[in-house]
Amino acid sequence: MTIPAPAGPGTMRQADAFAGWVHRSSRGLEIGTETPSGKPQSAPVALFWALGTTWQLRKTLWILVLKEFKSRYRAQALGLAWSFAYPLIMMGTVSLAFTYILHIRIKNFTVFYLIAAVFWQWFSNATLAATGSFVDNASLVKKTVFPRYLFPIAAVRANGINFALEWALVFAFYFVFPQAYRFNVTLIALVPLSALQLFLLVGVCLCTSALNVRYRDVYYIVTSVLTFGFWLSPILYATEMAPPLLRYLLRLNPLAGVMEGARDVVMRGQWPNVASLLPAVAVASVVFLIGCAIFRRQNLELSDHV
Amino acid sequence: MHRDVVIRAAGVGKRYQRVHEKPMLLRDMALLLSSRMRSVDEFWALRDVSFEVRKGEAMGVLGPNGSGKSTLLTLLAGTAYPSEGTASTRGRVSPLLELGAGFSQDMTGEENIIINAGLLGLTAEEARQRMRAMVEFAELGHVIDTPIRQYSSGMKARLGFSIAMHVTPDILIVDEVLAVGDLRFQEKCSREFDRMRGEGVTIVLVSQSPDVIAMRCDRALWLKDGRVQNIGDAKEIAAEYERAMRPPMD
Repeated sequence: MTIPAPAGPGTMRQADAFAGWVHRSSRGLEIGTETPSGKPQSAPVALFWALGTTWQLRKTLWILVLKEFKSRYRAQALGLAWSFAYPLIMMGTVSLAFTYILHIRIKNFTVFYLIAAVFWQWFSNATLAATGSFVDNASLVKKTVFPRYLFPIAAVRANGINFALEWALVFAFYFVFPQAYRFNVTLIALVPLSALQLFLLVGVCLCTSALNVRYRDVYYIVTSVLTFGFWLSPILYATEMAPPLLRYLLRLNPLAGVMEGARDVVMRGQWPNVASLLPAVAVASVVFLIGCAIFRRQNLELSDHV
Repeated sequence: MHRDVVIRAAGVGKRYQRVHEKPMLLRDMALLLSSRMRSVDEFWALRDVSFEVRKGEAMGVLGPNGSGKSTLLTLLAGTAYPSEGTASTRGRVSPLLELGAGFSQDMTGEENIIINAGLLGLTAEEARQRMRAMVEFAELGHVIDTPIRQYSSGMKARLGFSIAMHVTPDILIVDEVLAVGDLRFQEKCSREFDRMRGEGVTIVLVSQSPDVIAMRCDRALWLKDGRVQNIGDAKEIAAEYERAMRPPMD
């Protein structure tokens, strides 16, 4: 029995890789010698081990992601086609309203909208799915030692598959609106932009999923906040259209940096504006740390409340 | 302290809140701040439980419904944290609290093995290495690449049990799930259980049946209303429990 192995739930796998003692008390988890010192594992150590565990379990996580993805489309006649139908119908409607009725003066509005909408879809669908993920997986939270933080992460990644597929849609529209695109080597910047959004999502979803176990109305709050979020993100407009003060506020929204960066990349062939991405990175980092702290606090009682 | 102790419970207690029928809403939190609502209905599912289990021992846990057996298992398995005291384990713990946890109807047997084994603590690579043995033990070689929606419930139970048996933990924690499959498969499971014991796996087994505990375990812990009623040799405790629980003859 030399295989490194798992310890507690939502804790970390490396725990007994050295076949050490794992102590659980109301103060939390402690790993070490036979006699507990009474000092639970510190937050930075816990985070470090959680990252290591996520890496060790990446393949299992991927299968869990596929399971989420598959089960979502199983009972539907059109299946995956819905994944494309929704953004297409939405794009058609929005273009109609804004181009022909409101006479918006943004060039190539259809593509302009679609790029941001693809990011928004991922953000909003993933947040909704992840917020309920502990409650949805209640029996697994109660009865297995699988690290729990991987449930919201699996929900985020399952919606990430749709995100990737929708990018195919964005590029397919090159054949309809070739003038809207400027392909360049800068396209590779879409990878770090997507990674930034993934990072942000993990932080947000750790907060909402852990809180939702204790307070079930978090789910409804998330739904409402997403409705506002849509209008506070530069999806139907660009932040530069706003008056100066408002512009700075809007750019604090980490999604703004990501969406406008992606437009720079795809529509202008430019690198994303680093200055406007910095607030996004900063906010995403803070959100991530808050998410970890909330999860860590709720984790001790998670299985009592799901 | 003995060098070969692998499980130690020291004054372990678990308190639950019987709060509301509905899930808690933020409104309730506001109400909780007012003194009127502060008296939440709390109860101790487990209180002041202390014991040790040595490596290779099989420890049975006996008790009527609501005596705290399952709560004790979740604390040892680490799926919940104690409210007081310390629950300590040494080595890889595999909780077998539910067969086929996380099975997804739409995934094939193979994919479900990786998910379920992952939930029990194996990485995908470890699960793949043991896949063949798991499939052979479950006798499902002919259907392993089809979605388990098409399996009978017996086939699913066999697969779940087979995966659990191949996780090779240091400590196996079992909650009355051993009765799966037909009689022949049950005998096979019993042999597997004995084999694991022979290999030095430490086992904690919960059962309502004193016969099962007397047959399978070295020592037994009798829980009553969340407290330790008695602890000792499995056969003696099982006999004592049976006497105590048997309704008086008239």
